[in-house]
Parts: sequence; structure tokens; C-alpha cells
Amino acid sequence: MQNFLYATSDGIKELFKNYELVMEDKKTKLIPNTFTNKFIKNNGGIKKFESSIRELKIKKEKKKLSFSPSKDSSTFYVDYGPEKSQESTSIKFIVIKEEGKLKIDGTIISEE
Amino acid sequence: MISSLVISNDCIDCQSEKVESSSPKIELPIEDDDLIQIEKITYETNKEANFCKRPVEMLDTIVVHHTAGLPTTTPEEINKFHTTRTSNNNPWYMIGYSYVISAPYKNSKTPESKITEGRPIDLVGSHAGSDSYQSMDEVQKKLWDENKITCGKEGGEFTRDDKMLKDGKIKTNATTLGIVVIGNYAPISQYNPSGYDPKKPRHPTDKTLEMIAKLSCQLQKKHPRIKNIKWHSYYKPTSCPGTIKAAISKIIKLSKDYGCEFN
Repeated sequence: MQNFLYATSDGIKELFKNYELVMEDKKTKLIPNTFTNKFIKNNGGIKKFESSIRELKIKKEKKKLSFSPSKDSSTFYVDYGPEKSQESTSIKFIVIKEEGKLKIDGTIISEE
Repeated sequence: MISSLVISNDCIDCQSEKVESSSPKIELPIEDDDLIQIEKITYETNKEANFCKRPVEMLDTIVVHHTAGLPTTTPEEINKFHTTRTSNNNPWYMIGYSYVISAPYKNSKTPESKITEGRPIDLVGSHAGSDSYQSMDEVQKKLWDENKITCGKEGGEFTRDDKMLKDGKIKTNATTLGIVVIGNYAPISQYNPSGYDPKKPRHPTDKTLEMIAKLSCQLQKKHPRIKNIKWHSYYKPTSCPGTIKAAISKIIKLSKDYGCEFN
């Protein structure tokens, strides 16, 4: 299980590096490698999603990244946010494997 | 600029079991005075988790939330997350909300509009924040003093947990129930990629507000001590429930049409 988690942690790190490239550097070509088809479709399709991201103002800051797997290890809940956040309520990223790659499939609010 | 990566596998080996039910999905029978149908489903529970029982007379407030996720999220997916996550190393027993409202965004046909029961209302929910406390009225104080709110694990002994109280106030979760609207009603940000485009704010539809009003009214008719409708950010700093917060007064007005009175 530990080997599985370490392998997954590399995948999650890679995924969120790509996520930052998409959101912060507007490398929107990486969207299909970063988000599942379901996520893109539910956010109005690739063109609309790209347009929303391009207009997004970004604060460059240090982030924290952690994750926990679901019991069946099919889903990973990723806590990605500002390192110095004081908020106890945050949005977790739901990550699954699609076509053999880890991708963001959704988000969900998390209450502490 | 990711500074660290932490892996949490607290719950990998958690035992779990499914709450027994004669069929995986049943629709609760509509009584003559019911305003809206509620679907009941089977949830997998986390046997390692503590949970608390309460008399429904403890309830005085409904708290409205959004999931801050895709509109297609299912109650089962919320339950999967809630039974995996931990709060101060205290895992959750099952979905934290008592009712889940699935409803499409404006100009969309999916998902199908429906209400699904979540955590039964005679169990203390997990939704308003574990660090939020409320004053008790006489009825609530009496129930607390009579040890009617008890905590434990499935199959174990249930006893009063004095950590439910702080400075004479009780945890908000003990006197409230959570209704969650599936979807994201907050603007897009670098930490909220499924939020709406700020140029086109996403508001709950009239149908969604009607569903919340009917459900709230139905609950008040069955449990008359429920007198308030609040929202998550009423209790703590959070963007939840997004634009639904501004519609709470409309929900309260709508509920009057069904013969209910809320603050």
C-alpha cells in the first residue's frame, strides 16, 4: 500500500504542477491532460472553460498539497490551497484515473 | 510553487458496512400533507467513526449549503468523501448533511431534480463546523441535562459527551440539520475551478428555491420547533453557500405560501 501511495503521490504532484500551468500560466492546451472529460463538459465545454481561465486573476503564492485516498483507492481527495490559509472550510479536489492518467474530476467543499 | 506534499492514509483500513435496506433505492411514501417527495438510499457507514444520537426536539434550525462541485455529484459520492475524510483525527460516520438537493443549473436539463435523504435527522449531523456553538433554549437544556444526546460507535455503548458543550453552549451541529444543494454557486478561482464565470453569476433557479422551501416547510410541519433557516457562512467565514445565501429571504417568503413561518 505504501508503494502504491508513493507512486500516486508522484502522479498527484505532476497533476498539480500541470494544474498550476493551466490556471496561472494559462497553458490551456494542458486542460485535457488535467481535467476529466466529465469535468470539462460540466463547465461548459473546453472553449468556455478556457475562456474563464484566461480571464482569471491569479495570486502567485506558496501552496500546500496533501491527499488521502478513498477506501477503495479509486478516488483521491486532494487538499491544494494557500500554505498560510486560516480558513477551516476549503474546497477539496476529487482526482480519479481516466485513460490511465490522474485527472481532476470535480471539487467538493470540506468542513473541518 | 507547491511547497510540500503530505499523504494521509488514516482511513485506508477503516472497516465499513452498508446500512441494511430491503432495496438499494426506495421512495418514501408521500403522506397526505407532504409537500415534496424524498428519495431514500443506502449509504455505506464508517464503523470506526463516532456519531451522536439526539431527539428531534433538539432541532430548531435548518442550515443551507452548496457542495462547491459539479451539478452531477451524487449523494453517494458525498458519502464516499465524508466517510474517508477526517476532522481532527475524528472520521465521519456517514454523509454529514440530512438532505441532498439535486437540481440543474439555469438552461440545463441535468441532473434530474430530486431530494435524497442523507444522515437521518435523529443523528447529529456534520456540516456547520465542529468549532461552532449555540446557546440552548429551555427545551434543549432539559434534553441535554437528561442525557438525551449520546455519542458512541456502531454496536457500542452510547454516553453523553461533554465535549459537545463549551461555555454552556452546545455544538451548532446538535441543534441544526444541513440541507445541501449540489452544485457550485461561488465564482471561479484558482482554488475553485468549477465556480461560475464572474461575468455571469450562477444563481439557484426558482425551482431549486421552491424545493428548499417545500422541504423546509415539510420539516417544520413534522417538527414544529424548527423555526429558523440559516446558511453556512452565518456560522463561520466561508464562501458556502455562494449566491444561495442571498436567496434565503426568498425561500422564507416562499415557505409562507405553504403555511410555514421561519426566521
